[in-house]
Amino acid sequence: MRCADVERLVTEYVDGDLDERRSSALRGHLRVCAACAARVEDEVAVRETAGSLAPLEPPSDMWSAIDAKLAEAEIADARRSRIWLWWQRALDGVRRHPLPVGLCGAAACAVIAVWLVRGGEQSATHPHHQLAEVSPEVKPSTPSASVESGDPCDTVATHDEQTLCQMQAADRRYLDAIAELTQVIAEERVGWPAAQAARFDAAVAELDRAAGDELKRLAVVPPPPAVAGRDPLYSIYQKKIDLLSRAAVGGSP
Amino acid sequence: MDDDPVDIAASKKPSALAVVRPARRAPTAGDLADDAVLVEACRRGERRAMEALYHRYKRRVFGLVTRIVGPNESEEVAQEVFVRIFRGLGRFRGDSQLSTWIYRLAVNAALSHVTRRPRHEGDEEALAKLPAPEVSDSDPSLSQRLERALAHLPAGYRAVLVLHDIHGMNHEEVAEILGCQVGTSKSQLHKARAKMRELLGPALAAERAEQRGGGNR
Repeated sequence: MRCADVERLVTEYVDGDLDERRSSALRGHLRVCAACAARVEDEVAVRETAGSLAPLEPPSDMWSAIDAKLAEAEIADARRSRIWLWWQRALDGVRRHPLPVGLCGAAACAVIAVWLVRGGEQSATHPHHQLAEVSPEVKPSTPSASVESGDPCDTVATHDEQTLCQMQAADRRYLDAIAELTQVIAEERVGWPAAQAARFDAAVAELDRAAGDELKRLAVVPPPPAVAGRDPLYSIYQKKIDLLSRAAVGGSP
Repeated sequence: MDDDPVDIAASKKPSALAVVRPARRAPTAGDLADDAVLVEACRRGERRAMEALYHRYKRRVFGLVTRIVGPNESEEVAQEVFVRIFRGLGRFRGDSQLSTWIYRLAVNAALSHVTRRPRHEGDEEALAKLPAPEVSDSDPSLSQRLERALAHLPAGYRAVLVLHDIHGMNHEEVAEILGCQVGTSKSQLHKARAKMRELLGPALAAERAEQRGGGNR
């Protein structure tokens, strides 16, 4: 046993976690090496002193302050929308029964995937369906009909304005979804282990950085506006939504 | 009762040949049953049960938070921890012990607070002004120095040292609370103690000299 070995093993030795053979060898070294004996004594002193520190007494009025904060939070809950409360209850259900809910979710995804694939096949074999979708009888395009359909982008004057309006609406939908999931996760993340929370934060920060870079790039793109040009941005938003959804449903990232 | 160290040298003084077993009291069946009853009552919104749970954990939470964030902001963070505990009890599934779950919330809140806030020069001075421990088994000046030195450890080392050495947890529990591997907890503790020995060097040397002097008398 050398001095470097003692330095490496001192914590395990002092905590009683070292096996007997190495403990004996270490003790033998301590009998002939005063520097290592002092090192181990210091480690024991640190451990014993830390273990003997008295508990710290919180202020006597802390319970009243906590009680007041709880009351404040419950009153805020009473003012929340029913959708928020429903969403929270759904999340609790997922957390309590992750396996059945996961299986149901997987089954639902499989059904949707099959339905989409079969729908695509049917469209391909029945071209008149596609024609019907674009025919004026089926899809009205007059301004008055558009107003009735409730899409505000159909009422703008030019094609460029309409494209811009649709892009802004798409942006809003992504950002609303991200904001809602972020709010849900803010409540969840307090229960996550610190290391996982840090990993999650890093992943979110990385996506935010990518979105910021993409927005800077789009800011200098000359007109006319093109929806396809925003695909990389929407891809980043979608990745963030996927990340947040997984974290919200899974309980931790 | 909470601390039951086995000192093979049969002496209170630290010795190089003495192996200090981890100080730990295993939770009894009574503790677990009481916790389960309290949790159920708290979920029903019973104020007395909530207050009882607060009193059961207040020193552990406040002590842990104070030693990680420092005394200036510890009350605010400890209050926040208890609000999260009571608001989150509905989600506590009992997969781990209640104490482990509470410690996890407290450590997360404290570490988030430490990493989020800008560094204040005054915090370390404030930590140094912590009241001296009431027990006199060990040299009070060494205890005060250790409290002060805690503020100089990186937050991760500090959390492991506080949980393991001050709160008497084993590495499995520390790892569960911090969400890391047991090996990481061990290596963090090793580094934390080495840093402590470095920070407390002169005080520890004086302690050793005093013990040798006492032993020779």
